[in-house]
Amino acid sequence: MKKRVYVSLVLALILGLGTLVPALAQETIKVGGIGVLSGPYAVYGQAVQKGVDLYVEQLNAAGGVNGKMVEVLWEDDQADATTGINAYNKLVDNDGVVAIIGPVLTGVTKAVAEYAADVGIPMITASATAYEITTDRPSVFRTCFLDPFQAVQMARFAADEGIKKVAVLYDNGDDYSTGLYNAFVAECQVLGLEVVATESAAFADVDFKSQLTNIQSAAPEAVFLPYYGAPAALILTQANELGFETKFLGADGIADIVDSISNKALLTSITYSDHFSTQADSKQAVDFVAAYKAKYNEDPTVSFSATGYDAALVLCDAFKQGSLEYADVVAAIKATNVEGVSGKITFDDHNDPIKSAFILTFDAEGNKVFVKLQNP
Amino acid sequence: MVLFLNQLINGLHVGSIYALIALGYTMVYGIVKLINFAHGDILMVGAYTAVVLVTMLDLPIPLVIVLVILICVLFGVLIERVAYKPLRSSPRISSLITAIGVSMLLQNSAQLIFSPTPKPYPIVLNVPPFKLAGLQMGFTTTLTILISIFLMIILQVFIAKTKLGKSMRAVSEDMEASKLMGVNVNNTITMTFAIGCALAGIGSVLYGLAYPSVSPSLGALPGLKAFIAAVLGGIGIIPGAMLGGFIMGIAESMTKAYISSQLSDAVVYGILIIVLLFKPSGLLGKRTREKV
Repeated sequence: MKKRVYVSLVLALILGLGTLVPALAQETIKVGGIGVLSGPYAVYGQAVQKGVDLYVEQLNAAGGVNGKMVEVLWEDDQADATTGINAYNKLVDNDGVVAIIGPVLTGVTKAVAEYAADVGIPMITASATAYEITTDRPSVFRTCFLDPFQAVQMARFAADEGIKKVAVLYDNGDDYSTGLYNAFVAECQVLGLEVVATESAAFADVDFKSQLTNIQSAAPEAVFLPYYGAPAALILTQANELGFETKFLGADGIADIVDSISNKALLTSITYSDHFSTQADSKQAVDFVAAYKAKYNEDPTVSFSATGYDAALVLCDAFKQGSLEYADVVAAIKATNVEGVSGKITFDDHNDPIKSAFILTFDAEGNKVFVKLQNP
Repeated sequence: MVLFLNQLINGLHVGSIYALIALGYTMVYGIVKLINFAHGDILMVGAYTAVVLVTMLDLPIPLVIVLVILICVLFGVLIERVAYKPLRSSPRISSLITAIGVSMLLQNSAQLIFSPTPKPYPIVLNVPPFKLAGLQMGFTTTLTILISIFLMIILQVFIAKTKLGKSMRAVSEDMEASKLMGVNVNNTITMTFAIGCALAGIGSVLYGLAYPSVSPSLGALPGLKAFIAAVLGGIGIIPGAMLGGFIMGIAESMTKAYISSQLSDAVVYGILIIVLLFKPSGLLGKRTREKV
């Protein structure tokens, strides 16, 4: 009897000490990361992930936020809105994250942003460029410029180059493509550029020859191509096959065309807007490129690694005011004024960053070449 | 007028690829009354073979093309022996379901092995188009149309004049009677699959030259359209497959050029429905009546 009492007392003591241990341990700040980490668009999600992870690693090495380490829990949304929403629910309800970085693609971000805005949890996307994502959503921000903005910049770039006649080929089954198309055409009207042909293709079409033949017969000086890289590769190949030589103008989504095309010489005809260039010369950019190369053994060629880094920077900066309550963090983000690697970041009334667009092209080997910085 | 002709040429290009694949569908259906749903995926197999042979083994292009055709034939024969032959005496629905199963197997295996990220097709033809009085014939386009027509003519001659062709016609008409007449039915059927898959192999190269993006689901949509082309022309009838393929290609391109790219599929399938309403056995099909 005495032995039993003795044993149970010891056990109770051990258990009691056991519960104290987590309380004594460092508190970590948990942040949720949602992005497309698998499938055809994984290159974008992985770029964001790498940028975010690099920043968090540097931050933790320097002591974290007020002594607390930051931990990012990543979920794969597989480019699907429903999977993204499930990921959001898991991170917020099960894992108890205090903020969300991501998602990556416009379509998924639109879906998750609604949920995030309802609850008021701070959410920063590094790559979703559609306008409506931050409309009437005070807790949703982005560190990348918008589609309307970049479409306008491409139109202005064309006008600066002396181009008078343009054509457009876009995907009318895709929000990203359609949004860019609308903004581009509107700006062309303002600038006095003539849109001589407009063609559209359905989502997942592989044959664009009919549309390209029509555009070719209208003889434009440039063709605006608001597509992601993989379909753009098909379009360029088929245009070449038709003997259609023209300048192609693209937006940030076209950047990964270099992975989808075998005939790299065709890439020299594309000029596009992007969020970052490895040839940028600000101190932040240069340091970022060096650190990225050291950690991942490759250059940060996908621009979202830079905007992802900046998203983590903005968020963790906002944590520094001490409180992790949603409202406090959101207010701190709103007041941000930092030099990010992708440019200076302050937010306007629509929670969009006020920054410049990098205009890039390719050389005949498929390397990205910086052309100019287009300021708003 | 010139624009119209250029769009027509685009349509012929797309149509010839559909026709090549449709030939495989129609030949197999003619001989074993099976709709080989996996046929479109042989296109995908050929494309990935090219990717592997060029990017990993760095083989010269002519050798790659020969190997692509051989591997497609190998796959076709293997599938026939393993999946379809054991079910020859079972009800037709079993073979149909197996065909769908093989198609899924091929697509998902490719997804596992190669990942769903599209890869660029490694064979590139960089020849400028021929321009003749405003008409332009892209090199790949011309090559595709000419090769397809050439192959179809050869196939017709083969079926009509050679002994193997005769046995293929015999087995299509009556399998049991052919057996009684001493035709090696198993070999004939295997040869049919082999020829169909060889055509698909060539088709995969022509497809890859035109649409240089290889993904696991590459064969699904062209396969479906080629099947519809075969039905449109009269399934089991070889000239029907060619006709159906060209009609579908031209309809698709013209709709995209003059009406709307959204409606191109709708128009094509609409044509199929209307033709089948008036001629259920297809454009060149003969109505076979069961004689008691």
